[in-house]
Amino acid sequence: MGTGVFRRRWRWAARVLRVLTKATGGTASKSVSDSGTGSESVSVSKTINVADSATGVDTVSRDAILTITDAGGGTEAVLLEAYMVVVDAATGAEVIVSDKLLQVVDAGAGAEAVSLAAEKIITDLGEGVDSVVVRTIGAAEGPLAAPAAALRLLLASSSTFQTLTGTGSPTAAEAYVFIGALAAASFTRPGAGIEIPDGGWRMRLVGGGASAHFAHQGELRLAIELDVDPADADDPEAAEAAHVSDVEDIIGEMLALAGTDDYLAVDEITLESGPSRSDTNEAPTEGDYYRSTHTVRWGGF
Amino acid sequence: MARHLDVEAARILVADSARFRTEVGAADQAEALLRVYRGAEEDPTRPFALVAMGRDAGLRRLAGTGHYLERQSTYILFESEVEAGQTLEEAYLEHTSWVGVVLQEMGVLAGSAGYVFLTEGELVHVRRSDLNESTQFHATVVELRR
Repeated sequence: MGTGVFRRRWRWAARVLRVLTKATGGTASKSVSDSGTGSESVSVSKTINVADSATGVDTVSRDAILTITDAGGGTEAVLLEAYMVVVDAATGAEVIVSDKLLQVVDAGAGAEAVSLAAEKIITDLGEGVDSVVVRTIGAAEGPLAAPAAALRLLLASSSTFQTLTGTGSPTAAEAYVFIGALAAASFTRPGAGIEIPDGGWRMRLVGGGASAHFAHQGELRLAIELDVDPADADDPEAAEAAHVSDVEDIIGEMLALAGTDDYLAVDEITLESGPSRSDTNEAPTEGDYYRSTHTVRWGGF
Repeated sequence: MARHLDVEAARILVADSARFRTEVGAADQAEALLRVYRGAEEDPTRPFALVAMGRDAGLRRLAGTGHYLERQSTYILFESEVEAGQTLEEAYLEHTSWVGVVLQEMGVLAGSAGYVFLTEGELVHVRRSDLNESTQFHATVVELRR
């Protein structure tokens, strides 16, 4: 028997062995090197779908690593979006661990703008007792900070708010929403501020026996500040009407999204104070604007 | 039988929160308890928790019966320093994040074997220290009840 025939049979046997053990693996690698001076547009998409309709116990591991190294002097725009979706329609008790790490190392002198939004959506339609301990949205986690971050995302998703702030996406619009003690802050205008008011979180024991758990609910204070159109500066009625109209549109769009997908489940939004116009004495330095302050009652976190 | 919601029971709930141990760098309950003060502390090391009896503690007579219901409450103060270079928002979110996770973990522990039974918890307030203070910190007060 010649050695060529032996090699062909060995390769065939190796293929059969791989099929029998159902061991599959794949590696995808894309490298982009840019040492020139032009303005590039780079887009990288990666999709991994794992469909399992059989009864075996499978171990699935996915790693996605994207590294962008910028040693040049230009002003880059980098947009990263990662989606991980697990759909479980069967009865087994799965253990799902999702780790996401985004590391930005900036050794250069420029003033970068970095916005991070991480969303985790868990939809459970099946039976069984599930334990979900920590919910993370951006840098915020837990039942005090995460609802505030979720409200920011909800507000930033309003198309009216995006138009008023001259942004075109929730991620960009979030930069116009400050979270923190409103009394100590002056935030970008047009924009908004969110704080946790006194008494703004409660947990109550619900259910009994093994199903007993704490339900979290609370309130957030949302202050929206919008500049007065110079054309309305001498017409207080028109200026206030324009502010009210914009705020109504924003709140209407927020309520349409609230409770869907990963958006904050809002029970009620009430006007706490305003709309009130800035002091005319502040106009030279602070500008001419209206502020409306609202109480946003949330639940189900 | 569930433990009474006294200061010591609340201290143990805090000290057994994994996130609290991470925040204070404690390896076990004994180390964590060193940062869960019980009453006024002259020179506390932040981050820390401080537990005190609540205003709601006492006995209430159940109408129409000869029974009395024991109402118990504790206040917990959490403080952590603002790190150099942090913006107002970064410091606020960092503080409220770890305190929220600690409260969430305390809720999971409460009522299980060896831990006090709780019925509710409520935020009293989140405050930032006066900007004139030499050390900037955030302070959150919550009230736990059973």
